This record gives sequence, C-alpha cells and structure tokens, in this order.
Amino acid sequence: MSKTIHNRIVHDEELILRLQRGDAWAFQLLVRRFRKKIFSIAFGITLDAEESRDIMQEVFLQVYRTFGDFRGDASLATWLHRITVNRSLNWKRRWARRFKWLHVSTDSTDSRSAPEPESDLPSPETRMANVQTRQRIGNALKMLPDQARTVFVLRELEGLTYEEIADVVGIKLGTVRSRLFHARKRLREILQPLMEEEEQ
Amino acid sequence: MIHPDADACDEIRLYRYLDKDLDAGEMAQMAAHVAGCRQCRRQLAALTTFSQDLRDRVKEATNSVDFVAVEKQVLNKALRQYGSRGGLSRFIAALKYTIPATITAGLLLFFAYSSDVYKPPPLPSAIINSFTGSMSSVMIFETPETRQTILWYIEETDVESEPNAV
Amino acid sequence: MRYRFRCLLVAAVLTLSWFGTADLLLAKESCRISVDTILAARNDTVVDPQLKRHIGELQAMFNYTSYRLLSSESLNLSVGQSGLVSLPGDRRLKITPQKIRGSRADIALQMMKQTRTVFETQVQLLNRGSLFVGGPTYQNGNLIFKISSAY
Repeated sequence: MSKTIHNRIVHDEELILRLQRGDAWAFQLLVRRFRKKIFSIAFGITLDAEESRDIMQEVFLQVYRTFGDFRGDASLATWLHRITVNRSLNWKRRWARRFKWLHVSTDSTDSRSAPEPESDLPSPETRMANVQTRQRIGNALKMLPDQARTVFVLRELEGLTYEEIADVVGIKLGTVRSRLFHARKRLREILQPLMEEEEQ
Repeated sequence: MIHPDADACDEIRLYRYLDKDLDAGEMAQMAAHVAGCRQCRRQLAALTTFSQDLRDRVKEATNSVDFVAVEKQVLNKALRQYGSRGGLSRFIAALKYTIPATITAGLLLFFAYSSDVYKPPPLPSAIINSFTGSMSSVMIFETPETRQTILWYIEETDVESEPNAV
Repeated sequence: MRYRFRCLLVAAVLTLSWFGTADLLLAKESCRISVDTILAARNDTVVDPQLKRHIGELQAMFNYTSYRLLSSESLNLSVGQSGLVSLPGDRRLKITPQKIRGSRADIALQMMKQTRTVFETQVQLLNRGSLFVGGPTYQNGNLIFKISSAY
C-alpha cells in the first residue's frame, strides 16, 4: 500500500514537472487519471450528469490554463478536488451560461431557501427498487445545504480524511466535523420514515 | 431490552466511530455500545446503506459517460484555445475579428436605435399562466427586447430510461 | 349628392371598424400549432440548413454551437381538441387549445415521458408567436421545442 502511494507521489511530481513544461502528453495523462474522480465529485454535489460532464471539462481547461499558478503546497489531487468543488458549487449560476441573458428566473433548485417537503419522498406503492433508491438519494441529498453535501460527498464518495476535506474545502477541521455531523443528522431525519416503513 | 443504555447514545461519537475518527480505546467502547444498542445499530446501518446507494448511483452515472469523447474534447479545446502562447500573433488574430465586429456592432446599434425610436415595445410571445410538474428545476425567461418566452427545465435524472443522456 | 356621400362614408367607416374589431369580438374556432424539435449541442458547429431562417433567432437566445432540426410537425386543432406530438426520447407533447381570442390563444401543454407526466402548463401564446421549451438531454445535447401558433 505504502509502495503504491509512494509511486503515485513520484508519478504526480513527474506529471507536475511535465505539465509545467507545457507537455500535452502529461495533460492527457492528467485527464485520464482524474476524469472519473472529478466527474463523481461533481455528480455527488450537483446530481446532474450533464452539468457534471461540463464541470469536468471546465476543471481540466482551468487546470491547463492556470497550471503555472500551481505552487505545490497541496497535492495535485487536492488542487483538482478544490477546483472541482468550487465549480460544482457554482453550478446553479451556470444556468446563465446557456442563455445570452437572464431576465426572469423561477429557480426551484435552491434547497437552502426552499427545502423540499418530506412528502416529496416516494410513496410506498411507487417505490420500485432502482427508481426508489435513485429518488431517495436524490431527494435526501437535495435537502442538505450545499456546504454540508459537499463535505459528505468528499467523505463518502472519495473517502477523504477530515484533514483532506478541510484542505480541499478550505475550512477548519472542526468545521468539517460539524458539517459532517449535521449532514448525517439531517440524513437520518430524512431516512427515518423510510426505515420505519421498511420495518413494518 | 432493546436499548440498554440510552445515556451512552452519543450521536457525535457514533458518526466519528463510523469514520474511525476515534482513538483505539474510544473505538472499542463505541463498538461495545453499538453491539448492545439496536437504535445505534439501525442508525449506522441506514447511513451505511445510504452511502453505498449513493456510490452505486454515482457509479451508474459514471458508466454512462463517454470519457474517451470527453478527453478528446478537452484536449482539442485546450490546445485550440490556449495552445498558441504567442502574444503578438494572438493580438493580430484578435484584431482580424475585432475590427469588423466593432463596425458591424456600430451599424447594428445605429439601425436598431433609429428603428426602435418609432416602434412600440413588442408583447411577450407567451404568457405562462400556470406550471406544475416533477422535475429537478425549471426556469422561465423572457428575452429583454424581442420578449421571446423560454421555458427551460431539467428532468429528474433517470439514466435507465434515457440511454443517450450524459 | 351630399347625403349619398355621407352614407358611403358611414358605411366605409363601419366596414373598416368591423374588420378592425372582428378579431376581438369573434372567438376563433381553430388554430394551427407547429412544433419544431431542435437538438442544440456544443460538440460541433453544424447548423442544419433547414434552420437557416431561424438560426439568428436561436443564436441570439442560446449559447450552443450546433443546431439540428430533428422533426417538424403541424396540427390543425379546434378549441377543446387535443393533439399529440411524438418527441425524441420517448416523450410526447399533448396540446389542447382552450380559447382563442384577440391576439392570443390559451393553450394547455402536457409533456410526458414514457407513462409519466413531466409537466403541465397553461400558456397564452401570441398569434404567430412562439414558446421555446427546452432542457431535456439527448445525444450529447439538449432538446429545444419551438411551439408556435397561427390562426
């Protein structure tokens, strides 16, 4: 395990050097290595495959454009995660990108200002295996505030440690613990009725 | 007895136990508590199942993406947009488009202004009186000048029924 | 002579005013609804020659680089009569004109995907005006439905 990590660090360092020299092959390697990771973080936060695909592209283009700014104070993965999280959290603003202007908007996606009522959870009769799971995940995650969802996704999808999450999101360790706690507490509240239904 | 020690149920410690964010002694203490506490076991099971479902959901979405195509697009865009680093040549290339664009924009503005002075503002192409449905999000726009109405929505993600969606 | 001239003038004024207000006074019985299905994407720069006439309008509204006309369908519908248009991705659009008066038609739209209703809306569509409905992902792009009415 440690050998793998060691090799990986060496490889990333080599990759960084090549990228700083403007090596197109190195950029291709970077894309290939991190594309799934970036997509899954974006998808975990946005729950939208199309947006996540666009976010993934933008992250790589930003990396290509700004690689000169990479100082090496964080690992390559942390730096990429950080860009992905920032891009994903701004995804609602991306609506405007589709249009030449923005006149009137009726956005129902902001879970912070208008949380979805619990009655939106699928009723027992409509809960078919996959569809039910998908809806349950979607509804429950959408009910979490963006910041709490981000921390939860980084922990559960990427398996990042609290320290790594703090580094990626740019918050204190205590804030990571607190956000993660609130995310899980909220999820437990949302999942509770379903758990009770399943037991009956 | 289902719930042997209610006082020992500590949600904060339970979640840290889930993340293995406790020292060895605390981990053993929590393990012993969880073994005898049905409520805590249920909480852990619900959260673990949820996380697994989320991972499966993300995996399903990831499998539907054509990463080879994305890679190609990214490389093409990166090399096309940012590949040429020559400042002067870029500036000259930009001028090639900027000058005619400025002239066209000026003419358009002139004609638009002179014709708009005499025209009453147009009516919106469509007025939306009611809207109901189940989708991830919906936005209703109206272009400022031509007043074209646009209704834009994102369907609830349904990968199985939408094989072409990415 | 003067009396005849006055009569003619009154008749002309009445006729002109009738033509001017007939649209407002008489409710129309049917209208023609057309639905153009456009695939908008950003992976190439192809513009369908069939959309040449509308490309300026589309480009002024949306930020895509390619536009393809997938289908174009027209329905002549009486008030209260429903028409169904098949759309890509197992979608269907049910259109029901409810009232036509003056310069607008009240139209009910129901978007369905497979057996599920995605949304229902009631719009007042301007005569010879269009409503652009868009968003669903399809083949690496987004579908845009241009729904127009004329009567």
